[in-house]
Amino acid sequence: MLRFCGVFFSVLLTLFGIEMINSVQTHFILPFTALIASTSAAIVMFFDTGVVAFSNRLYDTLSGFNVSIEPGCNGIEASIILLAAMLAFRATWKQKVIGILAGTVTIQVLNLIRVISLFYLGQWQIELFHFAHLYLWPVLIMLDVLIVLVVWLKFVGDSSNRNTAEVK
Amino acid sequence: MTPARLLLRVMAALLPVFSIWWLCGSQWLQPAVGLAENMLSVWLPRIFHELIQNGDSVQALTHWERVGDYLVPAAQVGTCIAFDANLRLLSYSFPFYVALQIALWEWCGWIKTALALLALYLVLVVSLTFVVAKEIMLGLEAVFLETSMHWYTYPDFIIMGYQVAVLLLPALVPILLWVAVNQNVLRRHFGLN
Repeated sequence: MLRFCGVFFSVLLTLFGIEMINSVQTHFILPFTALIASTSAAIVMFFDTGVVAFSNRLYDTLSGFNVSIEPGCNGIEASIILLAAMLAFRATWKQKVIGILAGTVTIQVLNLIRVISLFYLGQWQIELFHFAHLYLWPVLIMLDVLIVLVVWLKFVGDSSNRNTAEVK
Repeated sequence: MTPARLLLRVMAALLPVFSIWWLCGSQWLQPAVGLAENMLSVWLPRIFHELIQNGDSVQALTHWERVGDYLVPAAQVGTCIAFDANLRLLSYSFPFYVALQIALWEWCGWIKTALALLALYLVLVVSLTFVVAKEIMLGLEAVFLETSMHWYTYPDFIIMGYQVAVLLLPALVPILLWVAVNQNVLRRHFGLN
């Protein structure tokens, strides 16, 4: 437990600190956030042609409603938490890499659902938008991290049991 | 218990628990506001004056007032600049923790539960301190920078603390406490080591 906490918090705070550096924000975080906006717009345009993305904003051309996807709303913090947790658990590097890649994809898919749902929720009822944006979705994203981690732990546990059985 | 069942149970628990949290208001956070006020008084004595709870938000009164383009000491004009901060932005960690605990459906004991809730409360106090400090810093930039003589009043430190307080702690700490409190149960169900 002590080893887990040490590695987890070291990796978490280091990566979180790196994320805050201005040049990292400029060259990675902001372009990535803009990519989320354009990906969300591309998905929405399958069923709603009145939506466009400009920089980190998602616009509805009919109503004029728009949402701005800011750093902190891009799922990177959740991915950092997952990465820190998986690095802290005892597993092979192959298992860790698979877990981190699969988990990050899961988080980003859920984040796209989050952005799109908030975009429509805001047009429908702004109070619900604020509730979902500020309180509900952070919990759901973190729940996603937890579930991915639990599934990964089962996978790691099953693999090591299989290996033990094969050696016997 | 499978991960899917855990997810379903947490989702089912979230709705009633969040409803109760919403209906209860934020009066139960008054001691936290008092503690944050004490911390801010020590942290920013020349800038921060008072923290007043107003429903779901707090209002931070400062020792400064804006007259035209200038900031002058509040004592000279009798009024002061105040900044708002949202308490619910931090307190949703409580319903989240309770939902996780309910989803596990195994009672871990009063002492452990009380300690976990106390830890959540203390994290909220520290988080609130950083949130208010960041609001004051951005609002009174010039005065703030002039009085920033210690590492704990540097803008980078406050911004970092604010980001951790808002983006990480409210959603992460409930899970960490839940894992810490229910270690044996989780080890049995999911093989957490």
